[in-house]
Amino acid sequence: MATKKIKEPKEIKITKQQESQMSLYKEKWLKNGLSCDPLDFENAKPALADAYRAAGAEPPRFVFHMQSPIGGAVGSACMKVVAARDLFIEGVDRVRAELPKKLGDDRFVQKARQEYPGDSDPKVAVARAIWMDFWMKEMLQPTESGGIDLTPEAMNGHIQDQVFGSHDCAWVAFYDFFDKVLKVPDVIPLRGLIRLAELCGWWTPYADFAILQDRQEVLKLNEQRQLHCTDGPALKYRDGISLYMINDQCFARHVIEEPNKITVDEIKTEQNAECRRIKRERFDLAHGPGAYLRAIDAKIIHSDVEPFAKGAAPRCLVEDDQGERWLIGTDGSTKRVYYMPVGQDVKTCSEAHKLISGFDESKILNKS
Amino acid sequence: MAYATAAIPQPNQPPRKNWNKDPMNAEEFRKSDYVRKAVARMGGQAFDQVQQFIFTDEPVDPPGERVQATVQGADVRPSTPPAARAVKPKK
Repeated sequence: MATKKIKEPKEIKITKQQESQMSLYKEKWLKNGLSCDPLDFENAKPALADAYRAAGAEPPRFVFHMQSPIGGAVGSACMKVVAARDLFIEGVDRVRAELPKKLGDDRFVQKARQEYPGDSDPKVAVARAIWMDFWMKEMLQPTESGGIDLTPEAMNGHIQDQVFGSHDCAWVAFYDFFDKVLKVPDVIPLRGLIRLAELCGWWTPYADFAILQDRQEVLKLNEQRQLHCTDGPALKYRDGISLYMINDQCFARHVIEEPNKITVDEIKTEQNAECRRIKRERFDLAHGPGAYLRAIDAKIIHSDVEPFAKGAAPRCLVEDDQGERWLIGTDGSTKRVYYMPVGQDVKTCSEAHKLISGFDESKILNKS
Repeated sequence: MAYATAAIPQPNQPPRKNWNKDPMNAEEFRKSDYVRKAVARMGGQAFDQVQQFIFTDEPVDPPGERVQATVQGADVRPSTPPAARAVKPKK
């Protein structure tokens, strides 16, 4: 198989004046990536067409507006049903057939007008009511009968079809600078994608239709720019889809908004050490300092100070009401307290350390 | 970026209620108010796009086989890195 020769890139010389604009582009695209503005649907459509043409495809005839990546995936699932069953033809035929009869039904007309006040023409409102009844029944019936497939495999597949839009700002900033400042012609085909990154959230391109999404409505970060919020969702979309996160760790909603609902079992069974620490911290926040230790009826089996670190914090080995033993250690720099499960036969902090790390702590060298 | 990649469900994980760590099986998800609203939102927009066919004798030109093929394969998707696909080397 013949391989295409890739042309050597031309050397691009950057003037001091051009270089000075780099920071402006960085700021511009960081602002875009963090933007919580809704989708600019009308301006995004021509950009979408440009992106399709650049990829050698016809622009999509049907463009939809959804509000989050999950909503976009549900939209893809709907369109898969539409395509598999020619549902647009079936639906239009249904509306055409039922419309005369329904227009003669005063109660139906009144209900349709109340439900769809945006349709000033009652005929359109009635047609929409017939269409929506047909659409909802077809889509929400079981998958085996032809309805949408919302299995994890199907949903993950649809999400993986999505392009990151404004969240593509990291690489888009680079090409935008080369296009606008250095006037590199090879970047011109990317203008559609670049413009979309300015105007919308994630989006899904298919051959005949596309689904554009709003950007996030809420985005909260910590100083390290990790998703982080201790009193609500760190990331929230306009359809309610939310991520509850502390220091980039994802939690169920109650851990953040109703920590009094965190159970001891939930903390004990958490596999991730950092998540377990945060849950325990939230538990104490809801029930008072030391509440978790009291809740597990902790008894101190052994305590010492880590021998290998200067100024190290104390640690202790405790046993809970179930006979499970936990090493409680502190991180000297962050002051965070960790609860690490260890075997029931462990008798000292040092043994617990060996069990967790796999090596004897006497082998640790302190070079500070 | 963390806030983008964190949003992608990992393979074999169930859909999540409110997109958080509360697991929800596919059937619960299908029956949720969230899915009903999302499906209705798509339906309303689909109506806007086929409305012209309803009130005329114009035959419907649906997103048929072409969509079906690409919904399954997403062949237009400028996948990562999009630049590699969109910017074709000159011959």
